[in-house]
Amino acid sequence: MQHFGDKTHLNTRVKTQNQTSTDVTTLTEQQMITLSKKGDRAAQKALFDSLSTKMFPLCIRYMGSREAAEDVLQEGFIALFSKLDSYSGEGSFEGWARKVFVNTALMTLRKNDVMKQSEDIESARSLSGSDVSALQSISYKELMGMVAELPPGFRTVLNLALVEGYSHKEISTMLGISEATSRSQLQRARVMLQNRIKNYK
Amino acid sequence: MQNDKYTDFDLELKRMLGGAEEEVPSRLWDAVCSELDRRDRRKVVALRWRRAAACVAAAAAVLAGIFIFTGRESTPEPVRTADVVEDAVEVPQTETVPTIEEQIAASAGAALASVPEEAVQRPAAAVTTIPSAVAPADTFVPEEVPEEVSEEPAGEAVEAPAEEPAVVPEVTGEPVTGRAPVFVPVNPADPFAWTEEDEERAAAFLERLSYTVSGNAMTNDFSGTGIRQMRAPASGVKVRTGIEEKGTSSYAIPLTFGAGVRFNFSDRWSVGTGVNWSLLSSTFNGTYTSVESDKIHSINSEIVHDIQYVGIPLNVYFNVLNNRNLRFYLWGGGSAERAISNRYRIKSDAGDIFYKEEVSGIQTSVAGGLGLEFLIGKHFGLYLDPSARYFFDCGQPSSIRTKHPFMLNYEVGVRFNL
Repeated sequence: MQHFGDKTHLNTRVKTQNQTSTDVTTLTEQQMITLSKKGDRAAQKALFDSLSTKMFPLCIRYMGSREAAEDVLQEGFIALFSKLDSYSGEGSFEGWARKVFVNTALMTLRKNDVMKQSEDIESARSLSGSDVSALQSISYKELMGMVAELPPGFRTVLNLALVEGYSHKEISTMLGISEATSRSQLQRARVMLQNRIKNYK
Repeated sequence: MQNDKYTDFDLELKRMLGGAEEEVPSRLWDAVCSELDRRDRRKVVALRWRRAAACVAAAAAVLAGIFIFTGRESTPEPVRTADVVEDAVEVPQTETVPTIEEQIAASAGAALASVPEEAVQRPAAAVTTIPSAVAPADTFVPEEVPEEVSEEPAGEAVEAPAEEPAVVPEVTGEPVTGRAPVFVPVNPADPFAWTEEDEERAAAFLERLSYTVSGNAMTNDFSGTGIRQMRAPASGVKVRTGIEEKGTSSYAIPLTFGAGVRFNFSDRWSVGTGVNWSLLSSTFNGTYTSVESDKIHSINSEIVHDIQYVGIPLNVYFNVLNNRNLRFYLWGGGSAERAISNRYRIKSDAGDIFYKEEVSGIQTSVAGGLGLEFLIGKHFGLYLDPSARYFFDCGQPSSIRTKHPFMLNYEVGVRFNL
């Protein structure tokens, strides 16, 4: 997981809502957070610029489309700035922010009731072997396209378990499913993705 | 992952997806920014409403105090001041009090020479008490012998009335008034004054404020025994209008209403201040002595004594527990109060007599206690602050505070957490 450096070299000078101007070029991550808590738009913009390029792919992976991902990214930043006071400073800020965006995505998926969709479950049962070389042969964009085409439930568990690194116990709590369901969905998602990669070439 | 091993496929998938970055359309920041602006504006509006609610609640508390006070002092059959003076003289059973000179002439020199200053104020040998027509028979104290001996020479006590005839210091009610009591309301100065020019700057600051509206009842032993002496009269005044308590006092529960603001410096520490209005009330049997020209009138009766204070507390709070539903804290601080009204109501068959005295000086106190606040919603809380308070001797009129300087308080109130 990438972390911010001590200094953020963003040549950004933005008029804030309060018509004060903050030079964020020399601000540390902690200073940006502190100013953002106070509603400093320049600092918030700097945080947005630093995080958005990393959080946007995350949102696409969970939502399956760029349009839906943009909405989640926007909601995620609103939530992030609103909850900034709850960031204690312990641990990576990017890691904390990632959780905010994951939660925002999950809330949106729940709201749209897409977690219960389980299309193509049967088709995922034809297990094929793991093929790393096939995976390495495709581009990031091609992989993202295949992940996006997974059923929402599979896609969500795959993202949570394999990319974010949550345990099945944590996933079961987050999604309100059993650990066994989480395991089986991950397995099926993995197989489905491997089959698509294999058939892509 | 529990009981699951990452395959090479999983690790490669994480590597390719986990560290990915993508350009974000610039319009997204504009959308985020405008939504933040909209929420900020909504927050300011909400702050204004909460501030208005706090002011209304504070005003309600003050009005409640006024209501209680005026309710206590209303007399069904008011009597005018002049009427009562005449009645006091014309009632058949009532003797006209002789002048000091007449008392001197009628009394043996040695005996009169020993009459102390205080004895002149009292319905003592030289002063005939207004009898049962005005004062109840059981409180009638005829020809009472002075109990205390003045250190001042008798000659001064005798000469004083001649030199300073009928000096009636600080008497605003004169013998009797049937008029509605003059209540000096607490100035409900808005501690939350808000100007447009500092609105933006204050918005962030206000997020750390709490407004409180509180009521407070103090408990202890509400009865007192013994003689409560009046404070010394003004220098140079030998005979003056005044009240002397005799026998047992009964104290009403002291009431305090207030509104305040609490500055939250951190999750743990905060400082609170505001304005409080307090009412101390007591009832006792006593003697009211008035001086009219060169005549002294005295009434034995039941007397109701009310003192009102306006005070400014300053407290420091430490949150021991602070979660979404409950806040438990310790606090300590002090308060400075000034009396705005000190009034006696002398009950009389001919009509109640009201007598006021100015009170100088500041009543100071220190307090400490616990606090429990039940948070209802995000911005509203009900709290209970049991505490102990010590009132310093600051030369204030007799009250439950002078009788029991160490008191237990139970303050309840509502707090608007912004």
